[in-house]
Amino acid sequence: MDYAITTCDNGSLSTYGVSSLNMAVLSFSHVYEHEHAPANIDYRYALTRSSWFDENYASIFEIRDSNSVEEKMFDVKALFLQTLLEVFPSLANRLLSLARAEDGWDGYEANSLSFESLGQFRRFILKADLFANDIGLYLDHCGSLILTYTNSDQELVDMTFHSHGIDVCSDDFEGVLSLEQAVKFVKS
Amino acid sequence: MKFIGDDETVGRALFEPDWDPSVKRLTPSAFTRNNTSVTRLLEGEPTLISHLKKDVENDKVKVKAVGLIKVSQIKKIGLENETKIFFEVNEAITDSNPHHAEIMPFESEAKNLLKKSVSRGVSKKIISALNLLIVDSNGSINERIESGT
Repeated sequence: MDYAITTCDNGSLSTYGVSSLNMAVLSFSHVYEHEHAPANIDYRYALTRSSWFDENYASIFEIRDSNSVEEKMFDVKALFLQTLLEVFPSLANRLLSLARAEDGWDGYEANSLSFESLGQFRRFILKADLFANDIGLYLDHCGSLILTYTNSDQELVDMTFHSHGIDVCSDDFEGVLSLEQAVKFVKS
Repeated sequence: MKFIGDDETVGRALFEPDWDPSVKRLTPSAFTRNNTSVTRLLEGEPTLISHLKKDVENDKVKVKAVGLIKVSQIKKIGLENETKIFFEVNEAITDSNPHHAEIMPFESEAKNLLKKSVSRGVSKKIISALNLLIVDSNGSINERIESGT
């Protein structure tokens, strides 16, 4: 089966921005079935058949011809990260490295980087900017991005990015914050 | 099961993506499993590093660092947790690594029921207690970073 990727905000497929390569970059925040999309979407990767994708969006998006789903997954994640490369090159390069991790990267059953988590992180970092000089980035076993940094009290804080919110864990606080709350948290 | 002594030191291989080389820091979820693989420091650091490299390295995975910790420290962190965790390090020899062991978290002092996982908070405390050896591609130690605790 051939694959391409479609993701969308608010229930409809939409483009999010155009990178310097003049390729459309899709928003990975939420995954819904488009009204015209085929029913047999593999929601694990939020995929549709590439034939349907080509008919509808071939002019705005390019995916290399490859038999490997994993390679296509990486291509799309890399395209999505193009907009971050210019603003946060070190973080984006680390994200590219994480995007290369395939299912089972831990030697067990860990998932590759999820589109929803990547989208949530992207929105967060564009609002929060570089709030610390020691930001570390990782994957958890569900494919969610984990960010760690040292706060002004020299505590190590970790944040996990999910589609529904951001899990924050520090010595003094543990809970799920909205995007806006999380931005306030790191700037406090 | 054969639990190893409190005075022993064990090492965990650190590699990407769990290891972020730009900040020389390990993912906070590194010790959340109930069978975290480690290798016993029985014949010196070069032998330990050699075992770890043989265990985990392949075309994509390369050992970037080794985290060292005494068994007694792991146990202390578990017992200081709000809900006590009774850690043990169990000998788990493999064909390729005669010094292989696993960190196991138990529900009670009787050690007859294994916890399903370890919280990220406890995992972070273990990580902060690690002494780090930063190694090159040949396994030579380039840098030593003492634990933060």
